[in-house]
Amino acid sequence: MIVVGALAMPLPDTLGYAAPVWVLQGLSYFTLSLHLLAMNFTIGACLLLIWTHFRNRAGHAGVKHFFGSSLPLGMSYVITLGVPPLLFVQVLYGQLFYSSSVLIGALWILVIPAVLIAYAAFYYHKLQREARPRYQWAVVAVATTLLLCVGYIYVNNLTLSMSPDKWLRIYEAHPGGGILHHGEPTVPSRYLLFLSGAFAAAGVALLWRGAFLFRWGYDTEANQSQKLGFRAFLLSPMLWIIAASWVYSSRPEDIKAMFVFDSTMVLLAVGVVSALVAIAFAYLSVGKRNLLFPLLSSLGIFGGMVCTVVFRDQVRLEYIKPYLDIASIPVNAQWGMLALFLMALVVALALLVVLMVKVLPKIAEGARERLEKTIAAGRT
Amino acid sequence: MNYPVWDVPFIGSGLVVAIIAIIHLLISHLAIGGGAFIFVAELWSDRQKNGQQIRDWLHEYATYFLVYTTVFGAVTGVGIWFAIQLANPEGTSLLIHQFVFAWAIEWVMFLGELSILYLYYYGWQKNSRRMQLWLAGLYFVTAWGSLFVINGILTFMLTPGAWTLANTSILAGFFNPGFLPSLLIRTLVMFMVAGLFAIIVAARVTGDDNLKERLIGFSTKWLIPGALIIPFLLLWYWVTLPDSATDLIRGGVVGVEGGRLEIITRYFWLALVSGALIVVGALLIAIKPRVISMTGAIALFLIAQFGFLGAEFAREMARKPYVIYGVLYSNGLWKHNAVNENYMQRPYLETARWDPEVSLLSRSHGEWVFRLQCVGCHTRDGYRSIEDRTSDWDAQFAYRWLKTMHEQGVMPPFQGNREDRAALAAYLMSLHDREVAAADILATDTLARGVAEPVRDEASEAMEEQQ
Ligand code: HEC
Ligand code: HEM
Repeated sequence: MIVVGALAMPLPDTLGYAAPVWVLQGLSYFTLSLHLLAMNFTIGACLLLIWTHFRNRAGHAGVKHFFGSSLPLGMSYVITLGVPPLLFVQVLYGQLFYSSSVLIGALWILVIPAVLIAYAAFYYHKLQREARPRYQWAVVAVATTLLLCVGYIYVNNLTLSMSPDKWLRIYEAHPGGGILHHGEPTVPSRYLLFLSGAFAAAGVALLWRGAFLFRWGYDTEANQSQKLGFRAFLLSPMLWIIAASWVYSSRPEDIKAMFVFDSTMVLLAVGVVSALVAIAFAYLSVGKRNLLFPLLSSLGIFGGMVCTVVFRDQVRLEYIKPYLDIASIPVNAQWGMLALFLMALVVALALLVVLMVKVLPKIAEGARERLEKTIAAGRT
Repeated sequence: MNYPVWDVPFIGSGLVVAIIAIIHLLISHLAIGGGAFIFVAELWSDRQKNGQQIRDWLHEYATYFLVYTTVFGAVTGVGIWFAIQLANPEGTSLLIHQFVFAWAIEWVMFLGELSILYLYYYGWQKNSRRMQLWLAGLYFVTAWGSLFVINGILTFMLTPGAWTLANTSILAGFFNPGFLPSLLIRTLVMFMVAGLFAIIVAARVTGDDNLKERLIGFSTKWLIPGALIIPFLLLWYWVTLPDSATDLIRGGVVGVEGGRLEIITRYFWLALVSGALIVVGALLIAIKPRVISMTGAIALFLIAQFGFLGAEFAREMARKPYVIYGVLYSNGLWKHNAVNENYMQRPYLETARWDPEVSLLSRSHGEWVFRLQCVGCHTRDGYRSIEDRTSDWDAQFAYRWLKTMHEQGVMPPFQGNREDRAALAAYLMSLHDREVAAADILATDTLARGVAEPVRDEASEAMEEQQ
């Protein structure tokens, strides 16, 4: 190569954007927030399952059982809700995302077997925990470790995708992609930030569970579930504060400048208010059969998640400013296809709501009967 | 060369894609065909006297089906996406940008399919019969809808039809010549896969009544439409394929030694023979349902896996050297650049974007040309090994061969000038521990051609002939 220190920045795809940037961003923000919510729930559920296994207090058996049953479903939606952000990140930032993925290729592809094994382990746990109770906690622990690794690889890939200046050096040394984004100071703090919601997401699930248990007349079990849920919930804001200040202090100065008197401050404020709403309603949920409070608390978590996701994208745009201006990429809008997609989405969601309204009560009824049997058998 | 090339030792990036894709193909067909199977079996059970017994069995089918398709199917599906993005970023980017909302609709179908399956499965004891039928039917509709969408994108890669970079009409690309035959073949194949899977679950049934016979009888019927109609559909599909692809399948690849590398033909036959074996096997099972054991049923299912392996490799080979037929080569070279002599003759590394600083004609020069141009399809010493393929070559031969490598019909033309070719030829020799200096290769060549006309390269003549 003739030019020394050249930047290996690929050209944007010549087809351009199939919709205005804000549409693609909006879709990405919405779906990624749902993905992160499901991901946090799944990891939180794993951690609480293991914790309750070892604490083994009154009421813990039920909580453990509940999480064990929900892990496969949680995992399923982590993956399904991860697909649209995967699509939109490739549309919006393909040049960045493909490049960084290839640079860590060998580890990036390991995400697939890791997710596969963890997911299969969750089913194994759910279907075999009664027949073979020994070491079931270890099965979940292995799966949890794998998921934690997957998240770590994600953070490495996405931070690397924002650092084109390092690409060529990394590629020259590791063309097979066997290395992560080493030496990047923001990786550990960012990782903690994205996982800090785990206890809130799993905790709020226990609040929901408690509300149903109250309705079915299992007051003791309901109280235990909600108390544990709320206490777990509180861990999240604490972790978040640690992670957020750590992230801030590990950022380069020009990025820090973004935080001052800017629209990003508004985002931060909205995020904090959402989190406070979530905490307040979580507190109010405890000891009640009321379903509105856990709902509002869940929405608060989701709001906080959306703010984090939007904020995260603004930081990304700031990082890549010297290399790529997405406003310069042509928009060749496929309005018809966009409309078709939105129609399909609305129809599908409406259909799912109708079906769920009819079927979920039946499934709950089944769950209640099984619970009754378990209690009768004296196992709770 | 827009993107870095993922240089996977020994296996090669192409094989990573293939391994994941082959597993996924069988499961995804099961995921759709199984939906139809469950729906029809629900209806069938209503008309049978021991309907509840059949439905209990069906629940067992659904359990295996759910775990197998949602765990392995969904994750390998995402896995293909991860793998193609690593193996071929440029091609993936084209598919993503052209079909964003088709992918998005595909996801809607998938979300629907998955959620409905959970409602069906977890509600089976409490839901009304009517509701279960509705759910099973809706599951099949959404699952088949996802096939409909993905089929348009997949067939586009091999037969883009009227779609070109100048006419990026989504309809032209989506409803391409391969769309319909492929959709029909897949639909029939997935009924067959659903039947084969049912035979496995039915083989477990014990008891004196004739439940097992009836279940097996019901399941084998799912293979009949495919066995009868697919051969004709294959003929139809064949005529939609580009000529060069059908030539490849008929004749295999003509190698340097004049021998025929008939791999593609072999894969094609593997698919056909597996299909035939499955039909014969199912026929035997239908005649003597009592004797079929789990092992036998699983063996038949594994034959189907081999069938998918053959079909996948044959299709991959048929598309060679392209990732999007006639538009984009597998190594990221665009066809419209390939026919541009100026573009092709430029010193390769000046335009390659992803190479580090190397000195001209050094071993690294050759290595980086190799990595960026060849590693998309070859490894050094493993899958489609270059060491094996060049073991009895000498440097001059390699140097000349590179000029005309595209004439084999499975490889893109070489990009770069004489220096690049010499450096690569020297690198290829170094893989056999034969140290030849690239500069010597150039010197010998210049001598051989007479010093008078060293500038004009034969490669450019070859390019002109092509145009
Ligand atoms: C589009 C994928 C592709 C690319 C890119 C590619 N090849 Fe090939 N190559 C093939 C296929 C397919 C074959 C034939 C089947 C086989 O040998 O397995 C082949 C065969 C060969 C052979 C054996 C030829 C013979 O006749 O025996 C050599 C040598 C070779 N390639 C070298 C290279 C070199 C050097 C490069 C880079 C400049 C390259 N290939 C790039 C796909 C590719
Ligand atoms: C199962 C374990 C998983 C975990 C723990 C996980 C975790 C994460 C985390 C922590 C992030 C944020 C990274 C950052 O910004 O630094 C993230 C983003 C993302 N995840 Fe996941 N994830 C998982 C699975 C998946 C799967 C299976 C998919 C794809 C189907 C997926 C798709 C995405 C995408 C596309 C983004 C980034 C989108 C963007 O930058 O716009 N994830 N994930």
